Amino acid sequence: MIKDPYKTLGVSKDATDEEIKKAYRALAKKYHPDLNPNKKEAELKFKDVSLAYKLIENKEAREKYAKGIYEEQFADTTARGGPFYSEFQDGGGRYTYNFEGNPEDLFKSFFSGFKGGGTGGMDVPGQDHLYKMEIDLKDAVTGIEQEIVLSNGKRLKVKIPAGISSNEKLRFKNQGEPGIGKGKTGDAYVEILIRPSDVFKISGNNLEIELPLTLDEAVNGAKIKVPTIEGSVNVTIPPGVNAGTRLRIKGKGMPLGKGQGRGDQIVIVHIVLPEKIDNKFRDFIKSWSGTHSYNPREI
Amino acid sequence: MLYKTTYEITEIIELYHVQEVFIYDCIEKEWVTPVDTQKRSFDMEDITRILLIRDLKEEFGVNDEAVPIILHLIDQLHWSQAQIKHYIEILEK
Repeated sequence: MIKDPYKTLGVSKDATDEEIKKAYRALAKKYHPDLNPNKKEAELKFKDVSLAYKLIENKEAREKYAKGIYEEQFADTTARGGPFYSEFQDGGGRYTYNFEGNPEDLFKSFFSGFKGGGTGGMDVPGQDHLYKMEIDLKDAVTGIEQEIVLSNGKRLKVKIPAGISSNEKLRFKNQGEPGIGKGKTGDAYVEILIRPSDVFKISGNNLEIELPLTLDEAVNGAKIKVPTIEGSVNVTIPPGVNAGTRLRIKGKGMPLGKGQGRGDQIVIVHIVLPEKIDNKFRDFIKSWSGTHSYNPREI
Repeated sequence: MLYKTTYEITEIIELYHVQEVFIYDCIEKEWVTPVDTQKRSFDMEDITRILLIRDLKEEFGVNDEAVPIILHLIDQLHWSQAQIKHYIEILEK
């Protein structure tokens, strides 16, 4: 059941557009989650206020609401819910780092109320900064060099080694927040995230790919072009290959480490029937099965 | 709530009902710097910043001149909170 929007906004039923907007703005400012971080109640109130405003913001909306034909679902989806900026600032974010504050000043003001004031000669290390970088699977296999802009505006060349894993962090010394006193500067970390590929799947040191085959190719064997991360290679499909068979292309998987070669590419066979099965094919299979019955569910 | 790492501009328009021209305006005025500047993809920090700017402008009636000042103050506040948290962690060790 929807709450009475007039009550929620604290306006009378004959309030004008301007009065409703004024009441909404006042409440929205009061309850906006970015002004009330970590207060779930404020977030719920803000959503109520936002939904109420959508329901009666103008004459047309008010008429609909009066007739009971308000589009609650529409209002609910267009009303401002989450996410909110403060949710992503816990411990600081990219934009937060862009603020060029001086930790020493902050520290001094923090302790200024204490006897003696200042930092009392304390040396505090600066905060580390974390950046995230998305790369394609191919770049994770072959390695790549990319540039990022640090929060202090500096450009940093990030050399991504071949064979890097997702969520691996590269460390750049002294590229974080400056320290206080003799405290050392923090480091910058770049976390690598590998975009999932539509074709390849990482499985340990190997790359897996699914390969659809026709009945003819599966029964009689064939030479087929199979994509690898560095282009296609010809693969011999042995006659009588079954669905689920795993063929191995050596050395086309993930790099194993400096000078240790690479894992393999595993080709998993799928057998695909023709799109349309005509009578000729159906009759042939029926007559063949009559004399060659087998049960694939039996071990 | 789980969020993807990055979003394309078309996804933001669909998910959060933000106009394309508004997003480009935020980038042009350097209020928002997409996490991937080359591919113009956005992370949740970018998206929530865009939504905050929309709230400021459309819901609170803040003008263009005041937006960067408010953003700067908010960033300063978050920076201070992050610094204090960091120092408290060090002092507790």
